[in-house]
Amino acid sequence: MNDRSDDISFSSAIPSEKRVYSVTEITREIQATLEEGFPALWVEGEISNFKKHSSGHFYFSLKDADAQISCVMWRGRNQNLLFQPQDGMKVLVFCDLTVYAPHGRYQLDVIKLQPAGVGELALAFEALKRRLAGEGLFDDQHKRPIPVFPERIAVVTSPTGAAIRDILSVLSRRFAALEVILAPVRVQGAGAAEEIASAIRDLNAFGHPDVIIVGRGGGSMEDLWAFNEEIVARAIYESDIPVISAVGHEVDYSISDFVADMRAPTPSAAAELAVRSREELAESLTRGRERMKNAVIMQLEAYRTAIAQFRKSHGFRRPPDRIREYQQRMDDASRQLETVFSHHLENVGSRLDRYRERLLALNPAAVLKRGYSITDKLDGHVVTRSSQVQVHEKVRIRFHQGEVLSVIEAVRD
Amino acid sequence: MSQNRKKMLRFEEAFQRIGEIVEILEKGESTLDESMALFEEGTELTEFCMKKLEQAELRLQKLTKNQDGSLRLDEADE
Repeated sequence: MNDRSDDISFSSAIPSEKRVYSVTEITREIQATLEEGFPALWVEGEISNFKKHSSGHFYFSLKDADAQISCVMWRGRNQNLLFQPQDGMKVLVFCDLTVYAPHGRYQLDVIKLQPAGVGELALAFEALKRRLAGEGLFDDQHKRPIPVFPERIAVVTSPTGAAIRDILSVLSRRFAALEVILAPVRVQGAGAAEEIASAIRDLNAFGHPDVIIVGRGGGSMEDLWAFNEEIVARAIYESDIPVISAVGHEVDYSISDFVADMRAPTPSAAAELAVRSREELAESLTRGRERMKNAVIMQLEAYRTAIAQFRKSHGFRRPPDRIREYQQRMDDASRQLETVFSHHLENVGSRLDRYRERLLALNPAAVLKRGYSITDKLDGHVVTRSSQVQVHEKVRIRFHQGEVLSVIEAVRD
Repeated sequence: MSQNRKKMLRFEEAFQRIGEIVEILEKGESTLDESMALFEEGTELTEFCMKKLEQAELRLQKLTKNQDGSLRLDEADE
């Protein structure tokens, strides 16, 4: 544009047709060359000068032995990150190369950031697991027992996921006299870990469930990552309410599994672990009822046998009709048992009271219980007078509990 | 609500008590009088538990955060 071709004192290296750019123009040219010349690309390097700005954007450099390059990762893109970037970490970034005109700088506009090398997520997992284990978060002594009969169960999971559907279906099949509190959270993506942790804390403050199930259905390691976050681990650890962790499928282990009071292989399994089945409970109730009945019947039989023996003993000089009356009452009491099973509990209760009084009055065992004892000769005859025995004779003395064999030392009137 | 819950005999307590009663009765060391009382108590508790088992409703609620950060439970349909 400027014609300086007449000025020959300038080096001949300078082209005669000089093109002078404004700063903006040249920047724009560089921008076009770089940005068009390098479509989105992958770069590997080590993070340095990592800063998370209050705006949420990440600023850092990527470097290797001989060079470094500035990077920015906007908030909208870094929210789904599965790990916390740190200086010195080797990473792989997918990015656009851009030019930031105001500072005359080129930089990488990071779209994706991931730890370099396969298994890096697994390494991050192992590192956190080791650290939390070292702090004692997984120790058995911190595990709270899962209540045998929870009546309120809280579930921290996605309101639309498979996990809540599975859990509700299992619970309603099993012992369904339950209140279920769903704490709806996102289980993956930005803020999921924070929501899960805060739901656990909320349930400790409000709602008072007996047990909390935390989990989600299956997915990739990235999908399940929220349950590997420290914030979730800490919330589970600090929970006063027992927590069952149920993340993904049977093969998936998460940090939350280790810190929880119980690990369930799947959400359905968590529901099964938390609540016993109706059939199982009904069965043991029926068994219990049979055992109670049999025990009482056996006891009545034992009393009946005892009466028969007392009747045989000559010492008990009860009029025969009283013995018969007593036996009849025993028979009535057995029938009574059957009635208790069928119905009219109150009615039965008052009739039982009458029996109780009458039986007590007649019951030899009750007499023994007051401290009296019965002395038998070895032929089974009850001793009621000292003249019935002789010195050196052996006799049996029965107490309320147990009996002894004694030898007579002296006989007095 | 929580008042109700407190007054209500818990299934768990009833169930455990039944177990205790069965054990005491099977030991056979109680007097007939005691046994009858235990038996009656056990039978009533069993009835109670059976009734609870038959109640098939599962109540679903949703934990919701209010604007001011306080929490509430909303009834939810499955």
